[in-house]
This record gives sequence, structure tokens and C-alpha cells, in this order.
Amino acid sequence: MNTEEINDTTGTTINQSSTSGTVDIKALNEKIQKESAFVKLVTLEMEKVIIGQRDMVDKLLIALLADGHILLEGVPGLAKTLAIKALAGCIDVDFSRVQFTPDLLPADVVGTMVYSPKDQAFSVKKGPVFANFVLADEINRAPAKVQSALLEAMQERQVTIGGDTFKLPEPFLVLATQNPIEQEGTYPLPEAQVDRFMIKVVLDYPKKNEESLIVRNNVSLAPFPKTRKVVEPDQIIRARQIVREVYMDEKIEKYIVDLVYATRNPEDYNLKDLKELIGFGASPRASISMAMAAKAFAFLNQRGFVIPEDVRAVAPDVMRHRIGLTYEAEAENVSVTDVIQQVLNTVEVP
Amino acid sequence: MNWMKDISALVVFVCAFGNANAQTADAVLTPQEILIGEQAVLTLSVSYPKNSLPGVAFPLFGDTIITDLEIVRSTDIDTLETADDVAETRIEQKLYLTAWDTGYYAIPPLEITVNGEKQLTEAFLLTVKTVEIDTTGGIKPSLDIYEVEVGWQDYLAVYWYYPAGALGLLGLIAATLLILRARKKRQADRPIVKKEEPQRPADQIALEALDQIKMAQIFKRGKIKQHHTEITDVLRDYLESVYQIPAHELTSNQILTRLRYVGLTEIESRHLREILNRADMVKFAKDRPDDLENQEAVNQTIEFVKTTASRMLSDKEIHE
Repeated sequence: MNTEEINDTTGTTINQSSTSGTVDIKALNEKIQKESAFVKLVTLEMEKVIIGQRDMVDKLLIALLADGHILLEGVPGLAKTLAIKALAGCIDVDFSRVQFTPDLLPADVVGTMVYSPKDQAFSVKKGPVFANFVLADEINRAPAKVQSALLEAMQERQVTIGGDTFKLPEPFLVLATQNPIEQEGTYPLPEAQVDRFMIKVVLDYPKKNEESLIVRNNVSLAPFPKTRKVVEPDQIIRARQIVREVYMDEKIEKYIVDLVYATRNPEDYNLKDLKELIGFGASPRASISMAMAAKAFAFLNQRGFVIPEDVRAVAPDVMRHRIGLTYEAEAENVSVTDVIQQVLNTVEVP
Repeated sequence: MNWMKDISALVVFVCAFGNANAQTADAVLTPQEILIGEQAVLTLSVSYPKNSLPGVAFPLFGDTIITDLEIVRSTDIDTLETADDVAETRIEQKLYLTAWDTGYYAIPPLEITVNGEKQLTEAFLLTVKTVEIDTTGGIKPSLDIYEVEVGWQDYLAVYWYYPAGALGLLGLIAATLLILRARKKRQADRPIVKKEEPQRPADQIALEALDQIKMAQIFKRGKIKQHHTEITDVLRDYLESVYQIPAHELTSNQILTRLRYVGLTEIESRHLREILNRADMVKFAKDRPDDLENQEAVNQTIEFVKTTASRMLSDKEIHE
């Protein structure tokens, strides 16, 4: 079987960043194999610190490579913060952490103007958001105005302080953690703001054997393992570019759109039962995020093209925080995950 | 002729018990002058003392009493009862006379027999006149046609059959419509019993479709992606039908995972993996297999369907 450069005689429209309109999958595969080598190193470093939670690590890398932001949700003690710190430790980038609390102010995140009596002038004091990796810990413990300040920075990739606009560094990645909203003292993120996160990963407790290992690592005399820097920021920026080059056939694009549409008009996809359960479906940003995340997943698997498995692998995390359920769904104890699973099981795979 | 019988009976009765000396026959004509067509009444009667019934015979008449003087009708001979304080009883008959020509008609005395004694009545002259025309006033113009107010009831009385016919027709149409509607409803309510056609075997359907794909050879016209899409669609239909998996909603890897424990041989599994992976490469990675490989994809699928179908059939026979 030969994979060769072709002109598009099959009627397939190629929506690629390449200007020629053709894709050399073989060359792209080779390029990806070369450029994605660092992924294995990062994974190995992460595994030194994080026991289990392999899925979470993959999703962190997907968000990093797809130029998105990630929201981790789970009860306290599931290594959310540790995972993000470990990832930052693997890459030679600036890292800052903001612990969100109810008394936090927007200026504490983005920065402010400070008056210097000595110089008799205001000077800009940049906030912790001016870093490559920003860990917004327990983001739902701060009030809406602080959340809003951070989310604006996430979207615009720039911050305005005292009339001056400052670009945020590249690569820029926000990794936010939050406790389940049912817990006391939380300010749930509004739908419009949670939509800014490319993926939302819900963490579960580790398995028994994994938890035994966690205990052993934490109580041993040996110091707690630390990650070492194995990737340069330039490699991440380059990898992000290659991720965009990953070929996505129009059949896959249609599949993504079908999945998203099925959450909006379930009756069109033989999912009449979901009509009463879904309050609002996923936004167009979900389609974009799913496409980018699927490409990143293909990149992680060293493939130059997207297959339906890639889409299915990222679909739950992309759509989870973008679908609103009705009171009927709550009454029937139907979760978003159930809805997404039903959509995935019903929409025809290309 | 009944009146004649009655007269005969009366004669016999009167003869047996009557007393002739006290009986008188009489006749009266009123009026004695009539216009043409008017009627005059000639009353014949016999009076006799109470409780002495005489034998009386009135004369018999045909249609006329004399020439041109017609008897329009005559009454029966009747006995007129009298009150207790009156001494006489009377027997009488009335003749209604008319004439159709002007003139004077002499009615001769009529003979009435009372207790065997013949008594003659008085003779009469009946004058029949015509209508007098006043010629002194000159000729008068003819009158206009008399206008009569005619209402719908009058029309209805004459032409009742038109509305009756229309109503009848409407009733007939309504009845027909009701019958048709009831019939339609009955047919709609009737459960539709479809004749179940025996389901064709999945392998037969799949092989037919694959043969068509093989014959069409659309890959030679550059439609390689469509060629492999059609093959995998047929294959997915077959797998859904035979192994009861939602193959159209599963990815290639998921299909292979689901079919891991359904008893496929190693060769069958390998063929299936090759078919699906090749199709995925064409569909999603812009792979362009050569004609040989495209043909091989169909052949491999046909082979897979044939072997799995025959094995399943033999397994079924053994099981039975």
C-alpha cells in the first residue's frame, strides 16, 4: 500500500493550513514522529510523580498541544495541583500558581499600577497571569469578577493594566482546578466562562494498587520525586503548529459536527429521549475544540491524520462542560456523561 | 232498486193494518219557476191518522218525469214521526227536477195508491227561464284577467314533487356518504395484516451488494474512497445482522474488540482487520491503493462473508 502525494481527485476537500491544498500524509507522519518524541519524555517524567491518572496526563498534553486551556474537576487530594506542577516542571517555562480564595481581587491575578513615592510615578506590577503556565487552583472559590479577569486573559491572550496592553507569553496555558460544585463555599463558573476551557477532565479516585503505591512514595525516607525539564518552549510552539497540520478528512469533520448537533437537536439523530433531558447543547466552540483536541490526540499517537477513535477519545472531555441538563435529567439522575455516551453510541461513525 | 223493495214492503204493511178512509195523498212543487239548470223539488206525500198505517204505493219513475224534465235525484220514501200531541203521521218522497231548456213543463197529476184506492195529485206547470241579459247598457269591455295572489304554499301544493325529489336526492347522497365513511373507518380500524416475507439471509444480501460493487469497479474512475466506503458499509450491515453489534456506530477498533469472542478464526480476524484498516486509511488518510488492492478489498470481504456464513450455518446445524 502506497501513501503518496495526490491531487484531490476523489472529491475530498482538504481544509488544511497548507497552501498547496494537498497533504503528504507519509511525510507528515515522519515529521510527527520526529517532533512528538518529547511527548514520551514528558510522559515518563510525569509518571515519576503522578501514580495512575494516565488519562489526566494525556488530556493535559492534549490541551497543551492544541493551544487550549484545561479545567480539572475532582474532590480534594486527587493530585490535580500536583499533576499541573509536574507538567510545568517538565517544560522549561515560567510557572505561576494562584490560589483562588473568596477575598481575591482581579488585580491579584492580572496585576495593577503601583505608585512609587521615590519616583513619584505609577509603575506596572504584573500579576501571576504573566507566566507560560498558570495554575488557577480551586478557581470556583473566587468570586465571579476574579474568574472573569482570568478568563478574559485566557481568551484574549493579553492583559490591559492602567491603559497599557501587555501580551501574555507563548506558550500560554491555564490549568484550572475546581472542586465539585456541590461542595460548600464555591462560586460555580458561568456557562459562558466555562466554555473558554477546551477540555474539562473529571477525576476519579485511584485504583487500589495505585493508591498503595501513592502511600509508599509519600511515606518512604527517599525524597518525593520531582520532574526535570525535558522540553523547551520552542518545541511546544513548533508541535502546536504541526498539530494544526494533522490531516482531518471531511468525513471526520462531519462526524464532529454530527456529534455536536446531536446535543442540540437530538431528535434528528434518533435520540428523542434526550430532548427533554438537554437544556442547551454544545456551542460551536465545542466543534472547534473537538477538532483541535482530536488532532492533538492523533499527534500524541504519532499519526498524521485523524481517525474516528481520536474524536471519540476527546469528545466527552470537550462536551462535558458545554451541555446543560434540565431538571428532568436531574430528577432522573441522568448525568452529562450518560448523555454524551448515548450520543456517541447513536451517531453513525464514518 | 232498494227503494222499490222498501215501497213493496210498505204497501204490504199498509194493506194489512191500514184504514183507507182517513188517508189523503198530496203533491207540492217548489218553486214553480226556475232558471235553466236550477232544481225544483216535487214532494209527494200521504197523510194518515196516527196508529192507522195505510197501504200506500207511490208511482215509479225513470230518469225523467216527463220529456226533458229530468229527475236529478229522489229521496227514499220516508215516514215522518210526529209528536205525541199531533194526531197525523206522514209518508213522503222528494223528487229533485231540472230542465236544460227554457219553456213551460206541465207535470201531470200523479197516481198514488192508498189502501188499494188510487188518488191523483194536483197538476203543476214548471216554468224554466233563461238568464236575462241587459242590452240597454251597451256592450261592456271584457274584464282583465283576474289576479290571484299565489303563495309558496300554492306552488308547493302543485309542484310538491320537486322539493320532495330534491330532499330525497340529498338524503340519498347523505346516506351514501355516511355508508362510505363508515366503510372507510371500518377499513382503517381493521388491523393491517402484512404478509410477512421470509427474511433473506444476511450473507445473501451482503454477497449481492458486494458483487455489484465488484462489477461496478468505481475505483477505476478515481472514486477510491467511495469504493471502500461502500465495502465497509455492506460489511457493517452484515456484522450488525449476524453478530448483533451496532457496527455503524462503532469505530474499526471497537468492532474488532467486540468481535474478539464471537468465534472468528485467526484468518478471519486478520482479514477483517485488513479490510477495515485499509478502508480507514483510504477514508481518513488519503491513501490511494492500486487497482489490485482495491479489487482485493472486495474479494477479501466476499471471502470473509462466505466463510463466516458457512461456518455459522454448520454451527447452527450441529446445534439443532
